[in-house]
Order: sequence, then structure tokens, then C-alpha cells
Amino acid sequence: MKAMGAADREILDNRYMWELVAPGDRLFISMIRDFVDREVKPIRRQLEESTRGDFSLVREVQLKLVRMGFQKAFLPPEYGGWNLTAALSYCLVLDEFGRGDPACVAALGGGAWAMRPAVIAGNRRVLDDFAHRFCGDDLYVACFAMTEPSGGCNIENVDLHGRGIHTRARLEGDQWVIDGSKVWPTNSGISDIYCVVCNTDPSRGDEGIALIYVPVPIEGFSFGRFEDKAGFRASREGDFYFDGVRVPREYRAAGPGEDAELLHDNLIFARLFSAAWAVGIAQGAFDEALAFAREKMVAGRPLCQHSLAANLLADMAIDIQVGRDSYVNAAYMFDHPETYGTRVSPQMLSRSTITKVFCCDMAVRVTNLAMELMGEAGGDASRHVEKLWRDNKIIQLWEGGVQLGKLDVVRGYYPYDQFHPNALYEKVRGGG
Amino acid sequence: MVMGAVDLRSWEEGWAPGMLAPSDLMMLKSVRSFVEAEIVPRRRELEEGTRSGSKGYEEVLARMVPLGLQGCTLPEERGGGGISSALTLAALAEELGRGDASLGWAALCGEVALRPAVRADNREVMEALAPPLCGNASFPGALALFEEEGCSGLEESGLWDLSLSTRAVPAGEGWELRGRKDWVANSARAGFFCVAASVEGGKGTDALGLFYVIPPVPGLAPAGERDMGGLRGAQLGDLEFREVKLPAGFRAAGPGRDAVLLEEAEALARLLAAALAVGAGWGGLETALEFTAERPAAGKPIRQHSVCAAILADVASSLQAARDCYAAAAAFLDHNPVEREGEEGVLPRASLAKLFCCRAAVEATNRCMELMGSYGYVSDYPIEKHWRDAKILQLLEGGTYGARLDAVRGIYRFERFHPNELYEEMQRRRA
Repeated sequence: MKAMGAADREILDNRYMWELVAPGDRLFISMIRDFVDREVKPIRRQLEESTRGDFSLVREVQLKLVRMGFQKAFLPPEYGGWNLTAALSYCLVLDEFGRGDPACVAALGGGAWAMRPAVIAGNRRVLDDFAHRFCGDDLYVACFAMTEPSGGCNIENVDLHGRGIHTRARLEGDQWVIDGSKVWPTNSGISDIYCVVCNTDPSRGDEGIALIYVPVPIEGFSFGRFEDKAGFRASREGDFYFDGVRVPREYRAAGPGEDAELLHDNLIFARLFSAAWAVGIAQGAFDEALAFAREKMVAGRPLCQHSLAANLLADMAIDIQVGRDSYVNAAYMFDHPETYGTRVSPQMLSRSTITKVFCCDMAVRVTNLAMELMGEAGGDASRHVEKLWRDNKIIQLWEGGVQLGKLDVVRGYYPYDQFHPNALYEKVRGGG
Repeated sequence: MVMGAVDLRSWEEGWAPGMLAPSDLMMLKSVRSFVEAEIVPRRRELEEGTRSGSKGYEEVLARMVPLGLQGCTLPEERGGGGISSALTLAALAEELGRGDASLGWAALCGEVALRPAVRADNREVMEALAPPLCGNASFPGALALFEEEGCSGLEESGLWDLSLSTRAVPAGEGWELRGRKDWVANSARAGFFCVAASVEGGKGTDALGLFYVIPPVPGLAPAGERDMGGLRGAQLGDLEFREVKLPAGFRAAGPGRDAVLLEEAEALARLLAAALAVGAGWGGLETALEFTAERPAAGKPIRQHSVCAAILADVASSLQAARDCYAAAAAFLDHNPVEREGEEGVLPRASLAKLFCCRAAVEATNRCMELMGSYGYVSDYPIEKHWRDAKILQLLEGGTYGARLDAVRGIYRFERFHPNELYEEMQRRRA
């Protein structure tokens, strides 16, 4: 057996089954790994400080990523991209960022997510009009605008068939006219284009769901304020409003029924990458805790040589590896519908959510343990673990959080319909 | 049964009247009103201020002086409040924790630091501290024990000569302190510190000395505030001692006795951390209860879904158990003071309570956030602050693993230290 620590690089490469990843994607992922080690980790504390000021350092890192080709990678080759559309590759990239500063990549990663419906649907008008903007040397940010003041889970809830979506789009001639408001979407306030989840007609159920692209600035669009978050600060969220915003009719991603599929596809995709992001964060916290336990002397021995600490480190390593295996498998299945069945199904929703819930709970556990292993140093910003701990929590909370997630898990096993119209509902709805 | 039959802060109708003196109950009531009126509306702004050097927390500490918290454990004949009950202090801590645990820690650390002098009846120290403690200005204090370099647990209390790098050397009539302390509360604002140091020439428990330092004093310099993920109002930071000269009488008691006093003070610190964490947990639960009452999901308020109700029940029951746990430990502390060296005293009991209460609070704030989705994560609601404060409280004062080893010492003799080559090398490097 090789001595411990002699083959760190090898351990890093063998954290997952890399033969599942296309060779080109593999190269990209290893570029990102180097980037995180070289350009992100050394300045991650300053990155967070920058979020209390003008975000200039965050933007600098993002511009470096743009110049590496990150921003255009998701586009089809005919539009200048690298066709990096596999969920597994996307997940592995976010896993790498998780180790460094998870949120600094959100402006770009969130963009790829927002444009994904247009890419999958092959919407030529949207791609013709906007793809080239992602291929330049400047930041061009996109936002997937879903959650509304009356509740995010109502939009994601498949059993509500769009009834929870109150942002209305109506067709007037060749234009969509959009009215409504959104809260929380990643990249709100800093985006150049929004993919807006709308409802054309609540009585039509899933057929009424529409994904419509809105470039800004545009008349009738206004932004509220940025949220002040406990972590994940390099990513920005806020609330914004549509008041008679008009866009060409072709800016709808696909059409009735298809848009609902695209929405659910994107939500399943998000469950997968959320899981990977959390795994990366847990990995980052583990790396710091391990380094600390190697150097810190307690009772005459390095902390890591005490059986208690060794057990904790083992628990963390087990958790992280199982989490990574879980998302790698699920993402691979998602990427191969020819073998594993359609991407939008209760089974795939359930499978991806199992991964998200497990990985997020796991990362909460691991980051908490890492802090506890380090004692007061664990709460100290100079050791980075407290930041990873804060950053991680939002991943568990977003997309409806773990509790809603569990309802999607059981949907893979039996029909769970939590919606029963009743008097209480009417009352609450009237108030909200 | 009517709604609201279970009062979340039930001490008034619950255990407190039977266990606390009427005057202590009065103080609890006034602290609760103060928290509602002065802290709850300002806590967000107060914390934000710690990033820009604002003196918000100092102002609030000054406004708290009339509440009588400061110096409340100083004996009455010295002009203090004469409160000796750890239970009263812990109940006060819970009330403060519900508002802002970091402020609670800042306000109560002084009583912990004062404890050894009071228990040892050290006249010289009490005479020096009584006027500012009982005056009209804020005069916070702190126990300075932990060191980042070297070992930092009480689990090795028999090895003070080896585990503490802060040294006390006899100099002339008095003492000279040299070394460094880390994560000391009120680091830049404290009026006094009780510093644990190893006394030159001593071995084992005899090597531990507790020394009172009243700044400004030549050689004592703040060595930077820590940028902590929570508990920011407690101003955790480092101190450097460069040949700090102290009068002979500023040692709390003497060889052997100081180690016992430190254990007791540390037991009190852990108990207060436990109660503050419980307060933060209740604060989180209250926030989640309000939020889930109003916000609808799938046609009804979130808390009318059975899964949410079950989570709220879990959180409430673990917090109630945690309160019972710290209250029982405090009562134990009040009735079993450590008097003799070499006896396992109150520290294991207080450590058990801290472990349980902090875990309950960390879990409670986590679960409650999960019920609120992303709203749990923004500063518009107090829960994310409670969540961060509870976590740092869990890491303080022995953390979760040092405290576990202290807890087990109450059950059997646990020895961690085995001299070995690595250790020898560490000692050589230190020399």
C-alpha cells in the first residue's frame, strides 16, 4: 500500500468513475479544478468581503471564467459553444467550485441553467438573438425566474399543474405581455436576460405553463432590492416586477405542454446540481478539518491520531463519498434517457430528489462536524469552514427545501397529491 | 384545551417561582422587557455594526447597567447584587439569548470571570473591581483561558504546566504574565480579565494560576478581533501579554485552589452558554411558528401540514428538555460547589448540559430554517442569526469534543495523555 498523502492527486482523480464522463468534458472539469485551486481558494475570504462592498473581486473571478470559455460552454457548437450539456459534467464542475467558493460561479452556472430550456427546445429565435452575447469576453448573465411571493413550492409542486404560478402572460398580436412578480431567483438584479416561468391560463393546467425569455432593460421591468443573506453571498438574489412587459412571441421556449416539461426537466436538473454543489462544500470543509487535525497537537499527539477525531474524519469521508456516488449515478441516469427512461417522470424526479435531500443533509452534517472537530477555530473565518457551513445551508433550503423534497421522493413510489381545495385555501389565497 | 396553553417561555408560570428568589424573578422580568424593547428591534443593526467598528453593542451594554446584571454576583457587602444562584444567572442568560445571544455572552462573561475571586473571597481583587462593577458605567469582563497554540482543554487539567503556554513568573513582590490568549470575549472592551496561566515551577494542578488583570496595564495589548461566523457582539479576540506586572494579591487564591476555582468558573461558563443557546433556539422556534402560520403551501398554512407540525413538536420538545437540563445542572451547581482539590466536581455535569443544550439549539435553528425555505436565510428574519450564534456557542468553552471528554470524567477516569516522541518534539519546538 502506498503511504498516505503520497498520492493526493490520484485520490482526487479517483473520487468518482471518470469513465462516465466524455473526454472533452473531463478536460474541462480538470481545468476548473486547477482554476479553483489557483484562482479561487487563495482569495475566498476576500471574495466574501467583496460582497459587502462593490463585488469587484467576485466580478474579476467571473471574468476570468468567461475568458476560459465557461460562459459559452453550454451552447451548441453552431452557436460557438462546446455542447457541455451533460448534467453529470455540470455537477462535477459545481462539486469543484463547492470546495473553493461555491457562490462565485452562480452568475455563470445559473445562466447556463436559465438558457437550458431554449437550448433543449432548439429555440432558434432565442439562440439567434442571444447566443452570441454569451460568447464574448464580457459577462452576460441569465436568470431562471421561478419563485413568487406567494410561495416557491407551489410552483414546483407538480400536482398543482401551474395553479401556483401567478405571473401571467397573455398574447397580444405577436407579443407576449407579462405581468407579475418574482422573488429569490439566482442572478436577479444582475441579469441581462430572464427566463420567466409564467402562466398563460390557469384553467389549462400544465398547458398554461410558459417559459418566456425577457431581455433587460425593457419597459415595465423593475427590480426591488437585493437580499442580505447569511452566506452564499457572491450569488445575488432579489425581487423584481413585470408590469406589462412585452416580448416577441417567439421568446417562449417551446409551447403549451412542452414548456411544462422543460420546467420540470430544469427542476430535476437543479436537484442534481444542488446535490453536487453540496458535496463539493462538504469536501472543502473536510479538507480544511483534515489539515487542521494533522497539524493541531492535542495531549501530545496530532489531533487526527486520537481515535475520536479519526472516527469523526471517517464519518465525514464516508458521508461525502456516498453523496458523490449518489449524484454521479443519478446524473448519469438523467443524461441517458435511452437506457433509463424519460427525464421527466415521477421516478426521475424522485431519484434526483433522493440525491439532493441526502447530499444536502449530509453536507449540513459534515460542515457541522468539521466545525466541531476544530472547536473555536471552526467558527473563525480565517479557517474557511464557517463560511462553507453558512454557504451550504441555502442549498438545503432552496428549491422548496428538504421537506418538500421528501414529498417528491415518495412520488416515485405512489401518487402523493397534497392539494385539496378547501375553504382555508380560498381564504389564504385571497390574503396572499 | 385552548391554543397557547403551552407558553414557550414558561418560567413565569412554570418552574421559576418555586426555585428562584422573588427579587431574582423581578430581575428576570425586567430583563425580558429590556430584550423586547431595546434588543429585538436593534439586533440586526447591532450585528451589522460589528463589521464597521460601530459602538452599538457598547451602547447597549451601558444601557443595561441599570438592570443590575453587572456585578450581580458580587456579594452584597461589597456593593454587588449578591446573587449566588447559577440557576438565576442561567435563566437570565436564556432571556438574553432569545434576543441576542452574543450580547448575552458579552454581558455575562464578567460574572464568570468574577466567580473565582468571589469564591476565594479575595479582598484585594474585589476591592479593586467593586467600584467600577457597581458604578454607572459598563464594565464587562472575561475569562481568558483558551490558547490556539498548544492544548486548550480542561480535559488535561492535571497538566497545566504543559498545556498552557501563558506563563506567570514571580517578579519582585508580585507576578509577571507572558503569553497569549485566544477567543477571549469582550477582548477590546473588557474592564477586567481573569487569566489562566501556568505558574513557573509548579507541576500539575499546582501549576495553574488565575490572575486578575485590569486594563489599561503596560504590556497588555489586544491582538486582533476574530472574524467569527456568529456571536459577533461578544467580540471574541486575542490578547497578548508582554511582561504584564501584577500585584501579588491579584492571584485568585493559590496553588491547587486556583485549579478548582477555574473548573468551577468554567462550569458556570458552560452552563451559561447552554442557557444562551436554549434562548437562541426558542427565538428560532418563535420565528418559525409565526412564519409557518401565515405562509401557505398547497392550499393551507405550512404549519397545518402534518410534517411541519411534527417538526415543530420535535423542536419544542427538545428545547423544553434542554431547558430542564440546564436548570437541573444549575441547581446541581448551586448545591454542590467544588470545595476540595482532586474531587470530580461540577464541570462534568455542566459539560453534559452544554453538550445537550447546544446540540438542541443547533438542531432547532436548523430545522426551523428548513421550514422557512430561503426566508430562513436572510437577515429580514432573526433566525439566521440565532442559527449562527447557536453554532458558535456550541464551539466555545471546550466545544463539543473537549466538553465530551470533560463530561466522561464524571463517569470514569479518562486519561488522554501519554508521553511520546511527538510530544517531546512539540515541547522542544516550544522551548
